[in-house]
Amino acid sequence: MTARRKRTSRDVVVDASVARAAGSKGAEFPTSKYCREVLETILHVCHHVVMGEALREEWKRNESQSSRVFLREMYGRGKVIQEHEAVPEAPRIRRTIERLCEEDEAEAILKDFHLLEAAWASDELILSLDEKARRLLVPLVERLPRLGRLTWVNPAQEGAGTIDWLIQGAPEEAGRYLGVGLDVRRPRRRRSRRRRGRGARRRS
Amino acid sequence: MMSAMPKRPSPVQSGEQPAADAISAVSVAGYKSFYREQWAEMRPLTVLAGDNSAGKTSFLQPLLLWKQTLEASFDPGPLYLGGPHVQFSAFEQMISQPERRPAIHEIEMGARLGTDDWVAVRYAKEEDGEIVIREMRRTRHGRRQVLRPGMSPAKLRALLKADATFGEFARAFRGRLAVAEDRCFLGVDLLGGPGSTPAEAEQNPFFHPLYPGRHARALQQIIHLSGHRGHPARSYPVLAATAAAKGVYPGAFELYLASVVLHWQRQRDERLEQLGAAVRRLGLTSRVAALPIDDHQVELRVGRTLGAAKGPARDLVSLADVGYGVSQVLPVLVALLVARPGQLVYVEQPELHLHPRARLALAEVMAEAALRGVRVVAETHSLLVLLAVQTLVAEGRVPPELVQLHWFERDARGETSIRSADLDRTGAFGPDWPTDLGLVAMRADHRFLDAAEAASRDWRTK
Repeated sequence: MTARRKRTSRDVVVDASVARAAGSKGAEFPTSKYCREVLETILHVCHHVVMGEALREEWKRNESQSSRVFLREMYGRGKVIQEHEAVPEAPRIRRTIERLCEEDEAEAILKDFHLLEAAWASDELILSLDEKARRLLVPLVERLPRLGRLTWVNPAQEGAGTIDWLIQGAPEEAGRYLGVGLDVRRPRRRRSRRRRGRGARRRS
Repeated sequence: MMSAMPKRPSPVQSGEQPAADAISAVSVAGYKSFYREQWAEMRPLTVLAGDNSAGKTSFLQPLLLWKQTLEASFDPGPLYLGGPHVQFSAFEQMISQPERRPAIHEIEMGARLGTDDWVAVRYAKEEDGEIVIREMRRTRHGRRQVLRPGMSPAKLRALLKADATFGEFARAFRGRLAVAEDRCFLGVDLLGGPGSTPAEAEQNPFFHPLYPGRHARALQQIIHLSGHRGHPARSYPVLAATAAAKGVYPGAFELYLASVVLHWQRQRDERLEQLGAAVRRLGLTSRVAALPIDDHQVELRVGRTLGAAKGPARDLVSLADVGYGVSQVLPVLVALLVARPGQLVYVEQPELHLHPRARLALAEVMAEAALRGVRVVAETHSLLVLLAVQTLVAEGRVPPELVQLHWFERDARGETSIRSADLDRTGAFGPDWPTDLGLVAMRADHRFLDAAEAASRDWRTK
């Protein structure tokens, strides 16, 4: 019975979009291949996944053979962090998003707010294919600096680069922070119902 | 020479409390790929896993060497190399010879009973070709005793006087003391004690202080099911029903298979019903029955279908006429049912010839035996067997402290090391147990999906 050398391990939030794409049904090459490699690498390199109840349910809804095997192995190795601490600023950030964005945009962001909360409570790493959510979040970085500290990696866009990054221990890199390198548009300001009724006409 | 008994002999490391007569840990050094000392706990449900040729089978061979030495019908000397469980033609074949390591000429093997009663024995081959015991060490309750052939009577007397059991006796004993070499272990011979002639004293096994008799009994009681469980036979020998009563099955356990079933049948033992329930659970057959042919032969029959558990004899067929899986797993099921609490059942490849569904069910039967107190050691390559054990723990049906996982791996020099893991209440073995069974399955899935998607693209573009 001997001791084992520790490897670099980080806590990663993996969106259900990655689980869905890793399966064969409806997945597109090479995204599907990259997503499978991402799961395989996370398992092999000893990273943990942070998966609160909402994300677990989402994974279940989008499960594939690949994601099932991945989760089984991750649970077996005790590498699924099922509960994370509450983030004290989360309610304030949520309210700010509701205030700053249009209703449909806020809804799209808040639908996956559990991803952000899980990331803030852990190593602030998110793997997701959801470019729409990313584009909506980027303009908010200026007003919500905590968003800017998130590392957001899209395996479909980075391909093999994601795998190398995971193998290297998913280090913090300025170029991977949310919003870096993207065309930042200012958020569409949310208008109150009162203003929407009258203000729209006035502006026109 | 490195010690096979841990330098600080380790007491039980989990919440599990093994019975005083149960083998609870094994150690080995200098044996085959185990150049350095390696030891591992044996809990009620112990899983040995690892690559082919990683050393899983070799690790428990010392126990089997001891077993076959103790149960030989003749005196084979310190180690019987040609027995039914392990076969060598020369002592040197057992010696560890890794690359770029100093040569060694001794092996050491140890076993712990209960919580802390370790015995380790060092063997070597003399220049004249004789295999000899160099030393036997026993450690219990933090005290250590060392016996060596040729020790002086004065040293032996001091050793006995310091012993909790024999101290008083040794102080009163006026006869001569000598080291007794009794097959694979050592003890003390009391020569010319009061009220007995030297010959009588020598013949009386009671007067063999420090001989590890409880270890010897536990070793003889090991039930070993090798990875080669033989072809199903049309008839089996009728062997002593008393074997079941004593819990000792010399030789290969498969030989006793039909006799045990016949014994249960005659005694209307409930374990026959349990055996039927187990084979049905595995989806193999409906029941098992023994049919005496004459006074020394018995045939094993099994249900033709998975149907009724009871019915006319014409629904039964010979074990030799059904699928191989049945004949391979039947000895395992019978062994698990016949074993008594504390007895060690060592099964190599329990999954042999079994459908995945049956593998899962078999893991449950093994767990039930473990819950009864039997110490089940399974050497496996089956992800499903491992997964079933994890699931039973996560479901709360098996306490995690009853389970121990050992992973065997060899380094570039060919030396084996063992990495052990406990399961937690969620059935997880943690990130440091280096099993690759699941990873291999995952990679196979991914390779297929990559290929299937590529083939699909090619097909669409044509």
